[in-house]
Parts: sequence; structure tokens; C-alpha cells
Amino acid sequence: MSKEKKIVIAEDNSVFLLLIKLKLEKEGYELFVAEDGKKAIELIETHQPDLILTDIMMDYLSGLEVISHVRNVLKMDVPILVFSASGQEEMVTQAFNLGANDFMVKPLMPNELVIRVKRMLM
Amino acid sequence: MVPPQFIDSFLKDLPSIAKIIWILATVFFFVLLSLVLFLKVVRFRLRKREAYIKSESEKYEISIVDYLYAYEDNKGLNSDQEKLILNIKHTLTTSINRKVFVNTLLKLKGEVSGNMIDVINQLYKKLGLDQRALSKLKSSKWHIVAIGIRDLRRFKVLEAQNEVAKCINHSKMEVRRQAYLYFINLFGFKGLEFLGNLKSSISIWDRIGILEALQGVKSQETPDAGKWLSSKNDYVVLLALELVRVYGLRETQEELLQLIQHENSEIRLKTINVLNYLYIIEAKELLIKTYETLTVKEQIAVFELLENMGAKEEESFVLKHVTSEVFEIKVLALKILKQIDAPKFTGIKDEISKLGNFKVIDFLENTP
Repeated sequence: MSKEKKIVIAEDNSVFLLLIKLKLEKEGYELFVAEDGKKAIELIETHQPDLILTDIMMDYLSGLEVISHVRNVLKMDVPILVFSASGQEEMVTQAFNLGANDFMVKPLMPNELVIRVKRMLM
Repeated sequence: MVPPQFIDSFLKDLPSIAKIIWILATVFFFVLLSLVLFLKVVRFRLRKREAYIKSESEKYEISIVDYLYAYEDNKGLNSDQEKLILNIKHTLTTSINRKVFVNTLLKLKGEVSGNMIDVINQLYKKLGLDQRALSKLKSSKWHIVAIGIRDLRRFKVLEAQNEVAKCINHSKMEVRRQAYLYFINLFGFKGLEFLGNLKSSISIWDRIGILEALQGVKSQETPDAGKWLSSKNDYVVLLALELVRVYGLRETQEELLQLIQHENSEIRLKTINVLNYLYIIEAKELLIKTYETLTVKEQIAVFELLENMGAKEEESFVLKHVTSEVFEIKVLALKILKQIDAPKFTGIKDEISKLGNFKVIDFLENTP
């Protein structure tokens, strides 16, 4: 069943992106990766994902702008998980106010991320 | 093509100023041309280098992720991992490749936690990069030494502690800073033992850096800072005082009281502030006894301490200073007097006001 689930992941750290991508693909999800917020929005509009994973700090458009676009412009209620670094607590609050569903503080454990993703897609 | 005899006759007929301008114009033209060419070459090389770094980085990213997943699947070093190690090792012959590889590892290290960090550190060692970093410590260039220690710290190479310890008294501050961070990041409070061998100075920034690094130590214990309060290195004493304050080490009371008579005024001042912060009542008697030998700044600190923990016993001492020439001391003395003996304060306030202290008295009377 999970094979049909599509995930868009927006993250500017290429090696971390690759690590997460392989991990989630191994779990059977279809992954679409973006290295900046602008590309993430393009992917979201094109693929209508079942879940969005996004970093907060990114080029062109931040994670907060991505969330805002998804909720206010695209009017999608797709679950969104935000990655934040320690010290970005205020931004996490803003992300929740904009419509994010969950967050994880980096550095994070990839196994924990998989568990959270599974739970959010249940 | 213009014939040379034509140029000759043209130059001969020109006035000297025009000749100079022509010569300068020609020289500048060639200088400009060579500079443009030089910049072209530099830009080409930089772009080539950038493209090479990008492509190598992408290759390393794949190899590292493969290595990590191979580990996860088999819970130990397997043939796939050994093959990967061998492949990566072959590419790490140049310094630029080693730099790209280490940066890629660090890029990932900042994002993941748990078991993966240990696997990344293990990979670093398996590739012999720890030995490379260790060999940098023998370099005559200080920045190479600093980079070596930094890498040993980032990849938690505990075995390098004896070599790093030799850099504790290095002449360059950056090297010493990296050495402190190595010990604190890798050994926590036990890493502070380097203070016992430190003969050089610790800047304020380093003190802040050390305290910040100590905040990351996940331990319920507190540092044993008492022994450094009697260090012969004043910078160590100042750092130890900072540790006493931050970790509330009241058990160092005896050492703190001895520091009141230290020959360094900065240490004395800091000690008084720490005694005040820790509310060590026993300090009052000694401070009053040595008051006259202290500097004005220290005397003000003594009154700040008394403001915090003054009692009736100090009344005669306080009374002596209500007319002090130092404004801060005068105000603090009156304030303390008001706290410990309000009727006495009321009794002398008119007399003090007459001495030109009306505003001070007015302020104190209207301050709770």
C-alpha cells in the first residue's frame, strides 16, 4: 500500500537528502526531492504528494513560505513535517501557525524519521 | 601594417609630452591585456576546480550513504563496506580530495545523530584520515596544526590526546583554542585537566568558548575547579573562578577566601563578586579586615557584597563610609545602613543632607 504514497522532500543539504531519500524509498515510498523551496513548490503542484517534508532554511523560498503556499494558495491539507535546527524554536512555532503538522530537530535519527513518516501516512 | 620609418618620423615630429603619453598608453595597453588574460586563466581554473569539487562531492555522497546503509543492514563491517573503503581510499591521494571527502562527512554529521555518528567516525578512522590529521600536528605552519586538531576533535579521535596535549602551550592562540576544545568536547569535565599544564594566557573569548563548550557536556557531575584556584597561572585562576560561579561550587569556599589576598587585582575583584554571588557570609569579616588594602573597584564590590548580605555587625564599618569621597561607596553605605538599621539612618540623614547629599538621601528615602 505504501508504494502508492508520494512524498516531496525539500532539503538543501544534498548528502542528507540522499540519505533520507534512500531510506524512505527502501520503505516503499515514492520520493520527489527538491534542493530549494522554489523547486519544492513545483514538485508539490505537479505530483500532489501525500506528505511533505521540508527544511526551514532554504534558498529562494524558505520552508515557512512553502507551508504558507501549500495551505493558503494550493489549499491542500497534506500533512507537513518540518526539519529545524536547534535554536529555531520560534520558526517552528511559526510553522505550526502556518499549518505544519509535526517537526523534528536536526541532527535527527533517520529511523525515527521513518517512524514518524509512517505514522503521518497512516 | 604601418611601416617602421613612418612611426619613427611620426614620433620625431611629436612634442615630448605627446611622446610620453604615447609610450604610457602603449605600456598600459599591454599591462591591461596581460591582466585580462591572467583573470581569464584564474577564472577558468577556479571554475574547473569548482566543477571538480562538485563532481567528487557527489561521488563521495553516494559512497558514504552506501557505506552507512551497508552497516545498518549487517551490523558490522562486511565485504561491501571493505570494498567501499578500498575504493574511497584510492581516491584520497590528493589533498583536495581528502578535503572534499572530510567536508562531505561533516556535512552529514551535522544533520544526523545516534548510531550513524559512530559509523561516520569509524569510517574516518578506517580510511586512515585520523593518521593524516595527526601528522598535521607536526607541521611547522600553525594553521595546519589547528586544522589537524579540529579534525581530530570533530571525528572524536580520542587516541590523539597525548599529541594534542603537546599543543596546549602553543605560541598561536588559535592552536591553543583548538586544543582546549578538543579536550572539552571529547572528555567533558575531565578534559579540563589540561589547565594543570597550561602556562600561556586564556583570552576572554577563549574563556567564553570553554564555558560554552562545557555547556554541551552531558553530565550530572560538576568540574573540580577548586584545585585550579591555587594555580600559578592567573588566567587559569580567572577561568576557575568563572567555573565556580557558573556551577555554584560552594565547596571551594576556603580557596576563594584565600584569593581575597591574591596579588592580581582582577582576581581579587572577581573573587569578591563570586563570594557575593555564592552568598558566602564568612567572607565579610576578611573583606572588612583587608578593606583598606583594596583598590576602589574592589572596595565598591565589597559594599555590593554587604548590600546583599550585610547585618547589624557591620554597622560601625558601614557608618565610617557614609561620607566616603567615592560616590558609589557613599550611596551603597547609606543604602546598607538603611537596610540594617533604619532608625540610625533616619537619625543621621539630616546631617548627611547638609553635606551636600540631599539628592542621595531623597533617592534612598523614596526607594523601597
